[in-house]
Amino acid sequence: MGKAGSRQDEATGPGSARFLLRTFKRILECNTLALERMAQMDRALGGEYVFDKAFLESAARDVCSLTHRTAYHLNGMADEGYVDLYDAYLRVKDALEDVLSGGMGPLAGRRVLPFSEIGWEMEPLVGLCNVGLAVLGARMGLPAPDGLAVTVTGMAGLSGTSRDEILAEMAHGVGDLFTRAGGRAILELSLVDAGSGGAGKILATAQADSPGSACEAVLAFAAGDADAPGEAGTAAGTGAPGTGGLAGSPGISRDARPQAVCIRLRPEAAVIGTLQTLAFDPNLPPSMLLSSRAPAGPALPDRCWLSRSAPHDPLRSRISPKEAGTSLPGGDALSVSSGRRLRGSAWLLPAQTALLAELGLAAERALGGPCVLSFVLTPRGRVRITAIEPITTPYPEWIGAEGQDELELPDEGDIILDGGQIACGGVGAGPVVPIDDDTLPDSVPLGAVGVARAASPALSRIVPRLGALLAEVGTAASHLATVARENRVPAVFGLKGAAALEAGSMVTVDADQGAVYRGVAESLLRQAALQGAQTGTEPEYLVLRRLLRHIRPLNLVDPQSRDFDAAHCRTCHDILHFAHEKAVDLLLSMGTPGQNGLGQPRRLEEDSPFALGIVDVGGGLAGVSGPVTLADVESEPLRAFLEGLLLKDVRRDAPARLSLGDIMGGIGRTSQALSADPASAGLNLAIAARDYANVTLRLGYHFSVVDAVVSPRPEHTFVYFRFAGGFADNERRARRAGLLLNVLERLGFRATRKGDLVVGKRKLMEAPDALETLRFLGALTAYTRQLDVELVSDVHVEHFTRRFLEASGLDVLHSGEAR
Amino acid sequence: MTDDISPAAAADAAKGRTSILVLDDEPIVCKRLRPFFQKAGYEVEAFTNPAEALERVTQRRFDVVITDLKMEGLDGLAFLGKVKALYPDTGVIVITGFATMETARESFRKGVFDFVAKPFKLAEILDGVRRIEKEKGLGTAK
Repeated sequence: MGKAGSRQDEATGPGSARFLLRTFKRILECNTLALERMAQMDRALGGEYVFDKAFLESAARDVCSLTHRTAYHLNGMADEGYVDLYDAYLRVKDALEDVLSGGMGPLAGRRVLPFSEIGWEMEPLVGLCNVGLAVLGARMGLPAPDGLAVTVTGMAGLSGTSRDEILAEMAHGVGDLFTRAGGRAILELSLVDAGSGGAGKILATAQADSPGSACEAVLAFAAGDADAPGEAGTAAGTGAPGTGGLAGSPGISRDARPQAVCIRLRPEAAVIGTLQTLAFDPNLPPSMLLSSRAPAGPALPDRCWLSRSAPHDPLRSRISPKEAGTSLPGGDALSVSSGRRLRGSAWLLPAQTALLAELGLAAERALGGPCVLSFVLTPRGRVRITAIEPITTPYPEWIGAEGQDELELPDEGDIILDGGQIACGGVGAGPVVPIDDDTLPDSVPLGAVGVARAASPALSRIVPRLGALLAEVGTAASHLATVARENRVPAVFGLKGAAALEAGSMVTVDADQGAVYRGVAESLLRQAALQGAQTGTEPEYLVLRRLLRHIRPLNLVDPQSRDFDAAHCRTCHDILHFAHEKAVDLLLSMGTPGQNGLGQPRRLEEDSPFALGIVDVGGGLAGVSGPVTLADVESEPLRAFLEGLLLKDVRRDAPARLSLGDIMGGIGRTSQALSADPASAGLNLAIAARDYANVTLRLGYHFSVVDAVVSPRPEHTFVYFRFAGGFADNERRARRAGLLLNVLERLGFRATRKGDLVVGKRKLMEAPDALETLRFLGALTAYTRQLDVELVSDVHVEHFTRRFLEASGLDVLHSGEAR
Repeated sequence: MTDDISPAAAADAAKGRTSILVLDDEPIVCKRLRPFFQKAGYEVEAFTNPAEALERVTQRRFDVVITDLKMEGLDGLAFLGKVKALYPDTGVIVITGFATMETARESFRKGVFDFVAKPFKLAEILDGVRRIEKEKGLGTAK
């Protein structure tokens, strides 16, 4: 620690400067250890590690324990000023213990959930059909309907005293659904097998057209024989399916098997059908089975076996005879042929067939295993998914033939590339499509193998469409790897030669082996599907996902927001971040001139665009007092930031042009800034340790924060940057935020923007990379400060972005040559 | 012992494919390791039930045995003892959630070649198998 403060530092009890500094360092230690553990859990999700239940328990409890210690230390610094943080911690801890004990999670008490609140980890509560439609539609942007779920809890409650409340909630949910849909519509309802052990089968179906008839249908489900399969359920039919439901008595307890109901909009149908994503036939390579027919009548369906690999050519088809005069969707009536029937015309066009195949594969990836999609083709020729179920057919012949599988596996001669790190395990095949930061998601075919030079966070928006992802630069610990795991897209990073793969060529990626094969390796795809190599199907992986949901997301972003309080902490990461921010605030307030304790911050004696005081919390500065030069700065992250800050050529020497409008626009903000903290207005402070820096800048009326740990271990390293406020008018502030966002994304940050608040986070870096990033942030800070009111149009944003990139050398980094 | 080798095992030996038995009572470990080693060119049998694995090793010899130490029903060390009694030259890799000095000492006395601690990377355990192959002069699979 050394003598960080004045000579008066004698006491080490609570409240003393020495105690505060020591406690602050403990918060930092807990923070970095917790982040490391989170990163390990996240990498395990990608298939990089083989783990067991003991790992899940120890990892989750370690993070939880570190979170608690962080909250404890913050309260130590703040004289128990954040006791609410313990309540937040207990909420998270209870959620984690619930997951570890096999419970259904914190939403287990909810009876009705709209699709927008349903995530993949809620399958025990709402069943596969609800999870599948919610994830495919709301999360992945695929053509799945809006809807809501009556949960296991809601269905169980219908036989109790809460029945009327639950029915009211359901009616309200359906009313909201109609509002979102723009009016009343036909609803499809399915009773779904759910619970922790539920396989997700659809047990019964019904239709409804109003909140009342939907409630009646659900009551009929609850009262009916749940063992009746498929369309034969007691609720079959339209109109008034509830006639049988009233026979049930509220007091009678139901079958113990958990069930849920899926209620969703049913689009108008010209053709209906199903797609089974993995179909057995001993005479065909792995295939999908597509079945389609007209919605009314007993006609035989068309059936088509499709290749599981793009472009999904038909492997076999049986097209049913159709009556003369039948209209095909989007087409004309069939002409009369011999025997008054027309043979050879299918209900679906080849393009629609291929789209369905890709939707099936996307669903399979998202849900972690083969499944059956139900779909409709609308009169306008649009494909819409209407339901999802697991496949129930066993494959005994293939299992028995496993010996042959081994012989058929591709050999080394078929490998195009190998190496790299597993970002997400699994096998995927498709055409090679080069992607970069500027690629638009819609331009990437579903199921493509995306290849990129660098695993940039900007590629995250494309991931849900990919069948596999390869990058030459990047690690399994990066943000893009996290997104690949979230979407279960097989991914290999750090794979040399990936960007040189021929666009359009067909390849198979086996991420578990770090290998890319020429062509489509059907045997690998089959093995992956059959043997559960899609690790998302394993219970351990589902538990891990659910644990991470309560651990990893960072919801608190803006410390100036009124929501930045303990009550809004919902994850371990929220609590860790909140505690860290508040601890920094406490140290900063102690460092203000005139206060006892830390004493005077030491002035930076360099040609800086603004005055900066530095507080040493351990190994950050040489010497014990007096002005500081760059040579005295021993904190690695702070020195890197200052080196960037002091770069000459990115600073604009000419004074920024001010106009009367700018002055008037800033008046409203002026009073807020002045009233916020008069004592520290105009004072810029840095807190520095050997491997840590926090730089808080109040430049006139903007606020900028850089918070960084640079460690030999990438898991400990992170850089956080925040910029808010400013004197210019609204448009110029928005443009400056745009400039910052552009540059941060090019620097590899995961950056977000809300108005003129810009937040960037980057973590899990090697030390040299982190230091280089901090130099750029220093340069960016100086640059942005100077040009505040120069951004008079969006053209200027692009212009100044380019000038900054050129002057700071970042354009070289962007082109990838710097690596 | 040569009389006990089944025709299938003899055929495999002739093809130069190293044979591996995996034993871990957690199904997920077997599900991850079996396809991984198959795709790397090995012949693999995986068991979650120690009794079944024990019965299998009395029927044929494996070049490498990978076993967890801590399992319900049968102690991993007892299983190792049986394997080594039957086939002294079989290579052994032990999977453990913890490695204490005493466990390590006793395991080495039973002929353990390598330790892998959970959670482990697939590459780690593949390296272990390849070291055994090199040490014992077995044909390299890849």
